[in-house]
Amino acid sequence: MITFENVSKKYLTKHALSDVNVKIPEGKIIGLVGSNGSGKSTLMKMIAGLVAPSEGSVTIDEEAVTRRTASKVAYLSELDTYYSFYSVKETVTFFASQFPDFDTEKAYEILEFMDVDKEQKVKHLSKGNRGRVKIALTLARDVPIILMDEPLSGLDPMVRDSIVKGLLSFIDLEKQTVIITTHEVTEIEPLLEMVIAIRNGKVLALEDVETIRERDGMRIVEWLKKKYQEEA
Amino acid sequence: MMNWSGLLRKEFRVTRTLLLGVMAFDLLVMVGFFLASARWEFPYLTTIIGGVLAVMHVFFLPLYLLISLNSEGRKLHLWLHNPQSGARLLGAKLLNGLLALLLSLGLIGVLALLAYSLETSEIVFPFDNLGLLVLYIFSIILAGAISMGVWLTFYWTFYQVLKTYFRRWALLLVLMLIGLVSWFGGWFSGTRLGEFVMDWGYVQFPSPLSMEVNQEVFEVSTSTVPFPIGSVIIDAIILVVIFFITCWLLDRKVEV
Amino acid sequence: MGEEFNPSKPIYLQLVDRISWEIIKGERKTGEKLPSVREMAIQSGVNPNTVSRTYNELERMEIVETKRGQGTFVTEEKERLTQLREELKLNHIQNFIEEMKQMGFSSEDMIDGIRTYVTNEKENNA
Repeated sequence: MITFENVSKKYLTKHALSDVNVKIPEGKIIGLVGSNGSGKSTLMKMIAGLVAPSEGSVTIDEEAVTRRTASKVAYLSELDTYYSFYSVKETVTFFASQFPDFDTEKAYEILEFMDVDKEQKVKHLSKGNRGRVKIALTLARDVPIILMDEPLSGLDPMVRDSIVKGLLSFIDLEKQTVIITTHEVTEIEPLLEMVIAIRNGKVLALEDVETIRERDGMRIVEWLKKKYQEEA
Repeated sequence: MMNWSGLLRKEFRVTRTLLLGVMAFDLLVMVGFFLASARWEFPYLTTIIGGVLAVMHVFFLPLYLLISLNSEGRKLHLWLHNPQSGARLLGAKLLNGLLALLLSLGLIGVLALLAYSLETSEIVFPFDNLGLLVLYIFSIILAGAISMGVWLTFYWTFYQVLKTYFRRWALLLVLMLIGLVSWFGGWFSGTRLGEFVMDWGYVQFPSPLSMEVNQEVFEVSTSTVPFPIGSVIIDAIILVVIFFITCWLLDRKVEV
Repeated sequence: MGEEFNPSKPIYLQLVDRISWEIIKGERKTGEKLPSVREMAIQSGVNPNTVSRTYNELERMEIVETKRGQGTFVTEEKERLTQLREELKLNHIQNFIEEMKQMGFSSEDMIDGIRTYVTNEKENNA
């Protein structure tokens, strides 16, 4: 379980997160939704130990998160960065050398599934294929927590479809928790079991998606709008 | 260690082009001067240029590290999303930088020696023991390079910490810190306490210089040179402490 | 990507309806093995936990049976399936009647309407 307790993050002029209290349960695919600059990425980076709270604490199974929590967390950044001198294959080899839980076979299986040429240099791949490589590198890790920051952004529907299918094929919810931020909420809505709504650095709600449908008769987007209006 | 060797191999790839470039430059300069020296009839020119190039290598490691670190700085989340300790992440870069330094220095050394042995003119140099002189210069270059490399890594990492909060002012703050640290170092070594802490443990090392020349001019015995062990030990301790502070900053304070 | 879902009804219930419908139409035979949870999730682009919930619900309704270590199968109890068919029929009729009532039709209007429609269709086909 990932626990945020009174977590705030302050920069000189800006509050990225304010007084976040949330317990994120295990074994689910959870969507983190909110407008641009609402603090989604900051929240994700905190779970990955790449940003530290100014106040409060972030823990995974009661253990404080640091950068080296990377051993339990696979983090897919929203940025399109990679080691430009490596081919896809070499990138896989490098990741396998860095993460003891990395499953090389699985990485190749995912790449094959997504139709990516292993021999190509990553920098020569199309943006869509680089997105796929990032997904493969993330899903090939046998870790309890998988964080994906905007895995679908800027990719065409074909790529998105193969990414969603890949996600469903290669995660194991008996052992893994997946947290996804995305602008294409409607597109992956059937994938999500829970959603966390965030606005201006405040977590507004953590809710079961099926409950939202049953009780409010709404899609996540409509529900989020309602939550935003309630808060404003 | 499996994962550290993976890191080492990656670091080698990060700066492979740089290293090849530097070595090509070494080769070009040395061969160029060797060909020119025949025409200019300047004795030992290539060897001397080799020495100058070698001494310039004291800046090789910090520059190498700056380039290597900056390449990671553009994708910090990729570099830092790694279960290995900061000591290993930075250590891999330092070790690779040292290795590159030795390769480039080795190339120059071999070329300089080659030019030396091909030299036809007769000049008496003011030193007896060439091997010892080379060893001393080499040690000084290495020590200087490591010292500057460690400090550079520290300032770079500190800059990354400040950047999160102060953005473009971070560089100015780091430059001020560099000024402050060097001022403090200078001031402290001048104080009594400073002298007491730093200036001790002199031992005499054999001198590579020839006695006659120096005796005529300076009228001092130069059969030995004093070597301040104390100051070397203190410097080494400071470097180790700075390195671990840097690792701590990288593990706990640098944010993406 | 997976099919569209109605936003105002839980997805697991929509999947229950869909699978029941497929069984009634004979697209899934009695005793046939259903895809594994993961396969079904991939086919329909739905969260695996939602699919599990669907299978549990179907099992509770006694439309499917889970055999330990083998998977989930459509029930072989023909009676239950006949009953399911009746339930679905009733369901559709209920929905129809409700909507017609809202439009202001009486029961007689509806029965007349259906009779006329069915007769016309027969003639057209003949």
